[in-house]
Amino acid sequence: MQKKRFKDYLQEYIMILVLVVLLIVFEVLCLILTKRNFLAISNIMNILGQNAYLIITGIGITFIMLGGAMDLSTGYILSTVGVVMAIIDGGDKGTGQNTFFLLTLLAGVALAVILSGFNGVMYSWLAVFPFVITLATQYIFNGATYLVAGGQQHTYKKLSVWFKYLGGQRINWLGGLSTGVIVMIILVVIGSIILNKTHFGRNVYALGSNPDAVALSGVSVAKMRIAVFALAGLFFGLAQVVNIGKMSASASQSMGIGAEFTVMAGAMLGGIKMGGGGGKMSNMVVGVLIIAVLNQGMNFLNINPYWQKVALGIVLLAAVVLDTLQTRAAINAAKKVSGAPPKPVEG
Amino acid sequence: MTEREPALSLKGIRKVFPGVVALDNVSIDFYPGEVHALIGENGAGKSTFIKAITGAHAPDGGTITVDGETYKAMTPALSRKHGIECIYQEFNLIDVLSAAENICYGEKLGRFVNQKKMNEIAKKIFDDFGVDINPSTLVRDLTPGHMQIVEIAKAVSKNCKILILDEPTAPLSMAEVDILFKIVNQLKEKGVAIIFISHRLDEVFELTDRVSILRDGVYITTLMTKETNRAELIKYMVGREMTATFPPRNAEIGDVALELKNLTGNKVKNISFKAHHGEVLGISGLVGAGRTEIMKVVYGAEKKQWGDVYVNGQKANISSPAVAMNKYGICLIPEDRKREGCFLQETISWNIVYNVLGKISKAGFVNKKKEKEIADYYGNAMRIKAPNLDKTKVMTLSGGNQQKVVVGKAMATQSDIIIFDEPTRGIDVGAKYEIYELMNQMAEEGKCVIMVTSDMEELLGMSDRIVVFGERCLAGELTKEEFSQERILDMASTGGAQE
Repeated sequence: MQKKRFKDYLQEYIMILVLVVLLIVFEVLCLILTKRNFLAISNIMNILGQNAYLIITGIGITFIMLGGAMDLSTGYILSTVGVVMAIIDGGDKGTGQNTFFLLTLLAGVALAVILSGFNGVMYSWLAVFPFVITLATQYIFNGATYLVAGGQQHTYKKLSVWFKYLGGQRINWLGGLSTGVIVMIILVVIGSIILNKTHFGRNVYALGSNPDAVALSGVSVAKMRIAVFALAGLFFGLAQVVNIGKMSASASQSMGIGAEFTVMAGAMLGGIKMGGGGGKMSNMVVGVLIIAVLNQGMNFLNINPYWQKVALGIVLLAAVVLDTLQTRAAINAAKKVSGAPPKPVEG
Repeated sequence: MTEREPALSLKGIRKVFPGVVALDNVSIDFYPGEVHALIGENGAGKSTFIKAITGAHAPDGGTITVDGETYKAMTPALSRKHGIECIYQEFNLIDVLSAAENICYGEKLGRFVNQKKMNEIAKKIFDDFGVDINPSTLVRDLTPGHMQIVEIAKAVSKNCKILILDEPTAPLSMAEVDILFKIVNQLKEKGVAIIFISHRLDEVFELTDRVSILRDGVYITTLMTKETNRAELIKYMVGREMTATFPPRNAEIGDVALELKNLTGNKVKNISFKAHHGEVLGISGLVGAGRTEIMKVVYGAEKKQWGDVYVNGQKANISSPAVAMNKYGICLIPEDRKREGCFLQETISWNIVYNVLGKISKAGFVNKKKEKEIADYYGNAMRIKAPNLDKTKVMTLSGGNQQKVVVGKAMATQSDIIIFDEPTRGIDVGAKYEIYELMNQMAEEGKCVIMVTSDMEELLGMSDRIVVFGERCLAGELTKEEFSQERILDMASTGGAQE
């Protein structure tokens, strides 16, 4: 057995290291420059609570990306589902005490599965990289959301208190941890189990790695693609439930839009490769957290929000450069092995 | 005739790839106004030779003389400068541009794109050829024959002095072949040196003046086409000494395991043969004869037009690879292992168990213990040389070890009928021998092994029986007593004789 070298460890955990370094750097800078404690429990809980729904969305995105696809419509699925849930929950007449929350939840999640599943069906049918497909459905979902909500920008308030219980209730004896974070942890664990322990999870990796070989192995590539998108939809639906809870049980037509970019950026930053070919659930979690910490840290330092965007873009570019260089090195190393002169036959 | 200066002269060309000598001391002269055929079996080194001329490969030894200038290696720019143009089997055209635009592509005809002038240039060449193609037709709307003519026109418009045609007739209909030959003869009259590569010996006799034979990367001889005959060419093409050794096999040939009756795919027609339990059936034929396609039809990975497959005497309805594998116990080890055979970014164990995950999962959850057992068993049985089966990614293995992973992945399914497509392509001698042992082991266990191969030694050394494909049809079948390189090549290069 080959021992793991320091380099291998570094490669595997580099993003966690980056996250830790970021936390420390912001702590030091904040203490010096703005006299604020970045690592205060309340701030950490805040970061987690604000980003729980993004990480849940990220579980779905991770399945899609590992399966060799992408999704530009995620944020719009979230907003559509949010508005539909709000309307089912009583719309503007909400009192916060609706008794049919379970129906709302099931309907919302089912809708998310259907919308994302529709992306999957189109992807399977057309078999083109889902960029254009999800760009198109992005418009469809966005338009439909406004049609359903009646045109005007509108916020539904006082939705069922259960949203809050699931997504935004602070638990004081846990240092103000939000319930959404607990839901997130449970879902990340479930997502990881599906990915790592099940036959389905194996096929997700296989699909991203080599769809031709999957087909020749007797697995229907089309069905797998639909299943991956539908499963992702499940997580998108749950993410929006938590998101609504975080916003004190209110929803609007624009809520959730943009999540797809933050989450895809996070996933890529964490080490999940665009177009399939490896990565773990934890990569996405770490990546999204890095973006969250960067944002919050720069807020604490009172940095101009536009500079924050520039910084985020630079970080993402740097990650791509790093990853590309690594991949090239790996390919060159592989070439060396297979290109070695033949050795005499042993035995 | 030989007194003239050759247009292109290659001396002592040598090219070594890792593990293989692709060309060894090949010297051929090509004369202007002559059609010179280059023939040889699959893998004889024809393509490598062509690539040395066009500059796609730099030879490891020898010289190339053209226009009185001698080079150690050509480059694509250099070969173009000297008027060398090559037309490959896959067309090199931009299919959203018109025929004329393709012909004039890269030429400077003034500051702006000048459609009129381009069309005039194209029209003139087409008229010279005596073909009726509208210069403004988009290439994608042309027939393959016309596309090829556009390719040739493009070469001619670049003032080509040496024209290489690599298997030019393969995509063409009979009528189109006639037109092509007419054009080639015209160019010959104009003093162009033409290098013509073909599997079809009939065409060699019809069109060429001289023929050179390569075998296993070695130059055999050059003959005047008029002074030779089919039998002599075949003798030179094969005439190989059998040096490789094959592991002994002690298998009993049993009942029919797989039978094809008039099976027809999109390109291959009416294929019928039987394969038995305990037998290694070799499938031979030239590249592109449709061997791979028909095996994919059997496996349910490509659509059949008509015909039937029988498994163990029962008519089988194989609609997909899943049905082939799970219901009928048929497994296919594809030709292109990197593209279709394995998951390069995953580990060895991951790959080996992939096909059997369904069997070792309960309620969708993979049984880790069984998974490890299977991966270890087959990983060790295949003698895959890797630091760690569970950690090493297939990407980092050598070709031979990658192939062992693919074979292990197939063996883990415990299928009864195993189809190998080019099982030892691109792998070293030691690994080849091990693959042969694995095949023998399967046959000894009573499995039916079908081996599609372009490697003549392997075909003769491993097979109990050989089925030979002609061009997109069955050319015949040989029993062990009838095996001979000459017969196989003769059958394979006849092409459509049965139709």
